[in-house]
Amino acid sequence: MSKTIGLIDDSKVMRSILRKAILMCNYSVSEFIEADNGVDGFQILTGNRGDLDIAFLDLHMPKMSGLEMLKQLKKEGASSIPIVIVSTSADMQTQKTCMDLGAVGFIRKPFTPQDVGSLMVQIIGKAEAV
Amino acid sequence: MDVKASLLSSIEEVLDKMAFMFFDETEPDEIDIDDFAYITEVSINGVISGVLNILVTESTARNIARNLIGIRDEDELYDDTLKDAMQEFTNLLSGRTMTIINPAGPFDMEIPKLVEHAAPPRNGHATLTINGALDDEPFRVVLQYRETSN
Repeated sequence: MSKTIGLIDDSKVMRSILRKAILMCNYSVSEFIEADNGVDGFQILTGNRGDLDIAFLDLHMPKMSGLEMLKQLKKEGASSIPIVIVSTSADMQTQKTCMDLGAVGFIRKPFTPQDVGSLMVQIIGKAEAV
Repeated sequence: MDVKASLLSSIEEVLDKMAFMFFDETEPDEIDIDDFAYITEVSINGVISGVLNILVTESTARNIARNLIGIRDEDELYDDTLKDAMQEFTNLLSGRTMTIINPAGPFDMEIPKLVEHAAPPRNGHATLTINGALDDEPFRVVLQYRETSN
């Protein structure tokens, strides 16, 4: 079954890298829904709640940071979408804070397509053979 | 704290994992500063603070951008995309360096930018220069830093 995937990162290049990594892992994707700032990302996560299979979220973004977004999602009870944090910050405290706020995974930059694929298998299951 | 080893490890890891390129360290006299077409800069603040510059040739910048994003050789690479890719590459390299130096510690970085010249020498900062080659093209990373109490 095709997946709908949210990519929330202010870097257009990083969104391209994530798209490439996900497709290299053989996931069939019906749509990538993207945002380049936290406010638009929040709209995507709350407005498409039933449609998104997984979302990748940067921590450092303009308008609303990834951490602020997680806090807001938890406060509003809108955290049903599996959210994976993608960040260069890898300290344990940051990871714990993100997990406590509802994130289900953490990918540290730099990453390989295999890193992304392994985490996706854990969270939404294996890519189905086309 | 071995900053040079951390920076070298970061360069190798980011290039290998994200750009599928391999770095060879070379001697400085093998490099002509005029060969560099793009210079990026980012300020860092954590267990060390300072500024990092990355200097690359036109060809290397294009290869890094194409490999990062996954653009084929026959597809057009726009200038804006190339510049964005170099900024993201700088973000990856500086961020990874900071986490290797101090895995448990938080740090801040400014948004990387493209500049005309590498940062001038800073008072009270050590200067670490890594020279190398990527596919036989010159490549240089300069880190000016001082240890902080963070």
